[in-house]
Amino acid sequence: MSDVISSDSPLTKEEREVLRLVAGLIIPASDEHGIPGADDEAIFANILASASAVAEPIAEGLNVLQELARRRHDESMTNLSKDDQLTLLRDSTSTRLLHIMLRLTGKAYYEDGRVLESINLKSTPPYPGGYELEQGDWSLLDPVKAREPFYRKT
Amino acid sequence: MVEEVVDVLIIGSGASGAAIAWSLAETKMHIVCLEQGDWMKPAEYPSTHLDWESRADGAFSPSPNRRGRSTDAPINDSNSPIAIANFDGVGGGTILYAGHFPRFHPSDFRVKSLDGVADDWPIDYDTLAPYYDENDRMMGVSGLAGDPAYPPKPAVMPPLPLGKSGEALARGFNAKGWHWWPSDSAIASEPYDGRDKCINLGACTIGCAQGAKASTDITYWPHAIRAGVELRSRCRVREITVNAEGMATGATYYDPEGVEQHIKAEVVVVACNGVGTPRLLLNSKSNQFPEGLANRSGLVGKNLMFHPYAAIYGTFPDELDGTRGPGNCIWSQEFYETDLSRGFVRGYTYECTRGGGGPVSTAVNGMLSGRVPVGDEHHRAYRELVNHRTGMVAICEDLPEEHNTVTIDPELKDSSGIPSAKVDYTLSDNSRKMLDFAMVRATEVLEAAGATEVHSHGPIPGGGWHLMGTARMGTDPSRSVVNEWGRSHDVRNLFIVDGSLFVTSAGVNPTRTIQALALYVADSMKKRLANLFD
Repeated sequence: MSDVISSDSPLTKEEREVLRLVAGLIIPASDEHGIPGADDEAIFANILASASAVAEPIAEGLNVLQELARRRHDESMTNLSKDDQLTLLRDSTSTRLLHIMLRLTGKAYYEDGRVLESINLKSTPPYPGGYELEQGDWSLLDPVKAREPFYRKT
Repeated sequence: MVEEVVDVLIIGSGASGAAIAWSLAETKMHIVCLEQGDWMKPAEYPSTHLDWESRADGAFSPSPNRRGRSTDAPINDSNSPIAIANFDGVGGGTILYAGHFPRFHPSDFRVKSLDGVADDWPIDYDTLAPYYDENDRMMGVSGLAGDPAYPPKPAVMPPLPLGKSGEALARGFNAKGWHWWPSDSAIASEPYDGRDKCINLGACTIGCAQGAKASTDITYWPHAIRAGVELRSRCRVREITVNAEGMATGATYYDPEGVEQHIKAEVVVVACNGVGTPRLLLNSKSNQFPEGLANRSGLVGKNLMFHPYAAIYGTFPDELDGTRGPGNCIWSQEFYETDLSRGFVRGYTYECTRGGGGPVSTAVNGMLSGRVPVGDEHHRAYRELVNHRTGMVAICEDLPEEHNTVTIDPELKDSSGIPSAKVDYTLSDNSRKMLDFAMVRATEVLEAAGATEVHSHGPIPGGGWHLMGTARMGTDPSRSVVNEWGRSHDVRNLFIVDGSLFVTSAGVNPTRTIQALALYVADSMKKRLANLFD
């Protein structure tokens, strides 16, 4: 969990709202798997913490996205349907925003304990718990054991 | 400036520096090792945090340039398709290596005689065999005796589990009728020498918090220090000094406070590996050695060899191990020895790597490549990949070419102001053909194992883990830098013990051979103590 609070962010309140919306578009919640989307409060706080280092290109990209929304729909991104929002995100010329957000969202989302548990990983650091690893079927080695040595003699 | 005198000065505390320090300790000589980096704190390794993948990308990156610690020596590798991967600290590259631990084969020491390329080594497999065994005991090696790709060799501990990934890959190799065997691994499969066994953290290459992986800070060094060797961290050597007779007199270095010091030594051992060692020698110019220390042959820094790596991964319908286990798994040496019908000389090892990426890298790489979409389809596509991928890398034998070099960069310097190394490297046509062949054959294995999609690429751009050949050993002083037991031809009290000694690279990870060589050189020195400089 990030220690960053929203007032620490160099992004404006409106930019943060659109950014959170973008995060939820990239990875939405899943009822099937019982997991939140990337716009979940805790996950988005981590995205926001990482976003501080690249706030300038993010803000530029969000502006491009909002301009596109207003040009096409005469509305803010936040007021559009989810389908329209996704279309705008994909059509936006700000590929840099998308690249940055794919990285930040993927990182924050798949470091969340609830999400990790849903893919059969632990919600704790790998150490000290570790994992069980089955031995596997060693009889698979039998045909190789039957093989004559084949290293090159010198 | 405070000056002190020691019997043996070792520069570098990685795989080889640690091994020779331990071996020489029994002589009761005064031995000091200078290491530019820090002792590691396993409690700070990334796997002790939930965001372990993110933490791996900074201070634990294999690239010294990306790590950017003050203790790192930056390297200009912009003129190479393969970037340098290493670690600067106590334990050196063993901190971040996978612990995949094959030996050379007998044929690897005779490539000129057998295949008419490169040069033969001045020593052979049988010479190194007892030192391999000794090193295996010190490091703690898991494996299984009886591999038909090798002469008989002992196994210290049982092999690491096959797991689901190993089973899948083994079925693929069996379907093709091709060799595979559980990898020899410098990872404890049971408690060993005060270290606990592997608990499957899945983060071997960013430091093993469990201490199951045999990095030399927790294997050789505790024994060497107990035996009286002094290891000084954060001490960066600028140059090796010489006297009017052309003998090494010690080294000038910067202490942890950045103050210049000189340490006087009867014997100097260089253990900085294939880039650090030529950098130090080339930075050690004097009236006696205007082209760099021990460089009358002109070969210091030449013949740099990597192992060009190909990566081949498949996606499987069933869930596999993912990162829930060590990367090491099985290897195949079906294509190790020369068969000219393949279109290239020499060969390679397949090092199977169990998992195909952690949860974060699977998501980020998947989304950036378009394989994992954004939106509602994200979860389905992501779950097809995560914990469902496995595969292998091909470690291709690189042949020595004099135009592949380590030189001194005219501008780049480390934080102490010491000129940095510059790497110029070109991938050979032979390596290109070997990479292409390896990717095709591995794809066949993965498809035979049931993979539904296979992706491959090579060389791996950041895969310069193995740094070899830049101060090669040999009996001819005009064609080599050191003799057949590691002593400089030009400076009779200067020894080299790391990967720069390699005459050829073989098609296997080099650390086990680097350490066996270090123990062999140490033994050669001990046997000649009365007339070491003759």
